[in-house]
Amino acid sequence: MNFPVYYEFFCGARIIAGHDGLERIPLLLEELGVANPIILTDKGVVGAGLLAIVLASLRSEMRDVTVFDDIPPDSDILVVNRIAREYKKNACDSIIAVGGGSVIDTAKGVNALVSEDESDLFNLKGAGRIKRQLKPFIAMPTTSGTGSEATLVAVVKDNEKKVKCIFTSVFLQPNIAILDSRMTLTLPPAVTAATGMDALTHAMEAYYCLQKNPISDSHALLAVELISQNLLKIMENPHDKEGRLNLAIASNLAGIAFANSMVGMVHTLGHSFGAVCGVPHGVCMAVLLPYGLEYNMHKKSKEIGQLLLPLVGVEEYQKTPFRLRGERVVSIIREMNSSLNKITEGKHPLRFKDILGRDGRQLIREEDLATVAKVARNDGSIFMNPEELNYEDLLMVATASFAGNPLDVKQIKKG
Amino acid sequence: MLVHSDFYAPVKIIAGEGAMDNIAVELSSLDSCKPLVIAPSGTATIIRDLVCAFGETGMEIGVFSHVTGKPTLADVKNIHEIYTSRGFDGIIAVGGGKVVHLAKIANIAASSSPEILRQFLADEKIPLPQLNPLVILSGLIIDGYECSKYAIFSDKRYESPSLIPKMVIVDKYALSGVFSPEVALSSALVMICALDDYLTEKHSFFSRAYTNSLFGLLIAAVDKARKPGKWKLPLANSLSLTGFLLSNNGGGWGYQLAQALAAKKEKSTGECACALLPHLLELAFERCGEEMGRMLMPILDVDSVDEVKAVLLATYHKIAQEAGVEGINLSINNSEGEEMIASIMLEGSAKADCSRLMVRLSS
Repeated sequence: MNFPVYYEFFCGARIIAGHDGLERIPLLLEELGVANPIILTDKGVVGAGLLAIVLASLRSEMRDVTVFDDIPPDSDILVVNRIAREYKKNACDSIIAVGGGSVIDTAKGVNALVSEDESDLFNLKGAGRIKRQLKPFIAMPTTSGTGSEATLVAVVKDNEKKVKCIFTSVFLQPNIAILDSRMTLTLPPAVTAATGMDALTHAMEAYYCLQKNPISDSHALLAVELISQNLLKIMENPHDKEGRLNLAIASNLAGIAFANSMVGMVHTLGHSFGAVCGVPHGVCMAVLLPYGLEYNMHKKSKEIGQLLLPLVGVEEYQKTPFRLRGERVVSIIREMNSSLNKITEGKHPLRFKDILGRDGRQLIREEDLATVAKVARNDGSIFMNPEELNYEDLLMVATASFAGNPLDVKQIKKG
Repeated sequence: MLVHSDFYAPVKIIAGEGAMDNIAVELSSLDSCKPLVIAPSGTATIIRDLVCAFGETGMEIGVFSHVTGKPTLADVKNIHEIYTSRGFDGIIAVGGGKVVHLAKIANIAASSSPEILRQFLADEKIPLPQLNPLVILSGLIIDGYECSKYAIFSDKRYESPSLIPKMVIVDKYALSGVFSPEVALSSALVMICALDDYLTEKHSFFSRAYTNSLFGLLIAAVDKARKPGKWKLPLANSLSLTGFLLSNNGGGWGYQLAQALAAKKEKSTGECACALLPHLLELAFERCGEEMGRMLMPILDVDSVDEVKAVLLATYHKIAQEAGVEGINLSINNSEGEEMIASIMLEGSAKADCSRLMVRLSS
């Protein structure tokens, strides 16, 4: 049993999971003592018909509720400030967020702003600035990956100042997270694949990185098992409601795990590939996860080896010799990526070199890798990675993942 | 596994060396800057350490350390008077059991009004307002309800999400004493709550995650029961998680049966839990041994399902031994058994399992 010298653990959200979770909204709003929520979402959610499902679940007198459906993929402080003005103008008393990470993070920002009666979110930047219970907030994730509904953090860009602002407080967590299978049923295959691998990365890094604790461990292990049992299954059968719900639950469990134990190198480089080249976060996680495992294997072979059990079950785990378990985990992740690549007809990339932008051109050039490595040095997650990383190490991993070559483990400086 | 689920355990856990040193900062993050400490008599050393933890923060704290027997309305009135007259804005409860129950009930009066408390005690269904922060400085002797939505007052169990504490601090300096029989009986309650999650059909993936952690922490603690200093933190952690499970399942049938037996046989719930544990373990192995094994193998750091079972059995024996109740016989006759089953209102497979267990106990 892993018992660290010191740890903290918190999950403040009530989690409701089911195929009919949305039907609970009217009762939940009543329990929260509110009647005029603002619904925050994006055009993609509206286009997929998900907002209509949410609105249909509300009581008839609430159907003309205030809706803001124009949240961009990379939300900005100005958007948050604008929504806060809408909230006040319409005398709203609560927030319902329907969407992925960007929508939920935006909703957290709006909630901080309207509850603290501030006019500019920038004033609440940092950790612990928000000290009071905020307005009632229900989050409904429409992807199974980010785990935003379980974290205490909101990341919102300030495009004017060209920085990402981080807001941290236990009060930012939604009061309620509703995981309903209908919310992810129409998710496109490539997005299902990338977000599923994002959740798997959260769980795996939470399990082997430095800030792990006994409670995050059990959340992480359950998440790995559920993802392993359901991701490929729903890729083959996207309308499998049970599988979709299990994956949403797995993503939430993984979110709880990493919110309490932090993440490591996969996120260090992933954030950087995202910031420098605009690669979607889930895609970065999928490509980098095997490298994160390989890079840390010599320091965390036991923990990484233990991840084989939820991936393959007891029989195969016991058959695999102890010293080979970690390597087997890496090869399973690569096999999963290959299967996802085939099922999505190449849309789920295996290496950074193959990622194309909207214009059909290669999104990342080899000469970008130096910048990616430089930017990664300043990412906070670098401190939680078991093995140290300097610029050369980051460039080595970025280069290998760009080309899709396995890591040359001899090059890892074992600190 | 129950896919449709509703799980809520909003207690922040702060555990380990120096956890108590963070209490002032943590309270301040909850907007409390003048907490009242409620403690049992005989905890002067812990209170001294607690006062030190506030050191140079400038925060003022008060102490009410006269909790002796079962909490009474007179205690609540005393605390309310001190709390409101001196302007406190939060409560720190030291230890477990009656102190925490008193703190929860007193917090209703102190944070809102005696009238709201009176209404709540008359009808617990009335919604409580947001209460001021309640923080528990964890002890080693518990009844399982500490981190839950329940409070026991005047022999009645009251329920409200507002009764859930905001935070539990687990620090070795607040965990005095040896692995005594009382501590062992607390451990038996923890184990029965964890087994309940495996034996109930109503568990969720979320309760299962906490259950697996709880098993890991409990087993690590009991294994080191004779090594000074090694067992307290994991044990106190597992005690906190017990409340999370009780909040969400109201106490599984094993826990409820232990309570019913305790009332009937005039024994403690912990002793009755010890009597039930070997049977519940056998039932759990039979019902879901493979699943338990698969879930717990990495957490217990063992390599087979059989090893998991062996570790769980060894843990039970050690708890019973330390509690001095190994092989305890409750002498249940058939009609008492039926009465027990009826009193906890079971349905379906739980009722069948419970009936089988009562047959074993009566034979």
